[in-house]
Amino acid sequence: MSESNLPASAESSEQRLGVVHENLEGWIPALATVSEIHEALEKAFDYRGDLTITLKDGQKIEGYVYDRQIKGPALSDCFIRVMPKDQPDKLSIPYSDIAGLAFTGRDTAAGKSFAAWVKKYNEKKAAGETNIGIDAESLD
Amino acid sequence: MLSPGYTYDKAPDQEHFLSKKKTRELFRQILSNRHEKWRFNLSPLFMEMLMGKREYKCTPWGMPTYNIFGWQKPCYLLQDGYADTFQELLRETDWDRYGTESGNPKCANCMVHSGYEASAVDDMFGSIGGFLSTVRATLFNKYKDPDAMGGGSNGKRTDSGQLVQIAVSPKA
Repeated sequence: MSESNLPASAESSEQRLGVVHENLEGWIPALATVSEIHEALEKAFDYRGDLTITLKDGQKIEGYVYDRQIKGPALSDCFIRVMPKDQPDKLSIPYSDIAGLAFTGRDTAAGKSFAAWVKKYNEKKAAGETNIGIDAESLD
Repeated sequence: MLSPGYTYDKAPDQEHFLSKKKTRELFRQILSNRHEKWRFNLSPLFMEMLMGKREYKCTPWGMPTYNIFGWQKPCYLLQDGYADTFQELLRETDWDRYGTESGNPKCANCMVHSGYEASAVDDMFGSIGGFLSTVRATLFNKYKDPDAMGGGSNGKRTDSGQLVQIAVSPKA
């Protein structure tokens, strides 16, 4: 905590800006191996939309994966936590109970870049619209 | 109140985040040569950090976030899971993995108040040097800087200061 000129090392690592999101909408990952399961559920956690999770007992759960917890090496020690679409209670599901995963929900942020907004703005302006603002899109 | 943006990886727009270098340049422009009536609702030492005059380590637990999912790990910008209780958040979060100095790329460009103003306030109340620096920053808060706008010693700016510009169609 000092008043100083910043060291070069601090400056050199600071140009990594933004991330490129994969288009995962509609993706159904293979869950044949442990590493595939971990990779798919990590992507599920990062996904900006709902997923459909099929459990080994045949139950299907649609919802948003808001957390994953890795508490040990076994799949039964790892959990995803889900906010179901049509239920009030959050769920905790062991990786070992998951038979299938599908990225069925819309990626709610895809295509909403600043460039896309400017394009939309220009289209509205060209159409003669006035008082153009930034309006939130309606929820699904 | 002012604060830099965060390179939030779930944000729709990933192309307009500022690096720390650019953030410091921007806040140097904003916070230098202050009008006497300007009042900023920020701690003086945090503002000095934003201007590039000092450096702090992140205190990610400084402003914890609770929402419908629980207590967000580790801070309200970086969403790396949730804890059900505040005690669990503090106990089970691996805090060494976060902050600029950790090497975590998700923290690389963060200068946000949620982690750094807490550090500045801790410095202010936790050390004589921090307290004296705060007194100095409060009494001498104009930060005269003829170079702040990037124009060299003559004070004339050389770059475009406009951050967002909607493209204007040429008149027919």
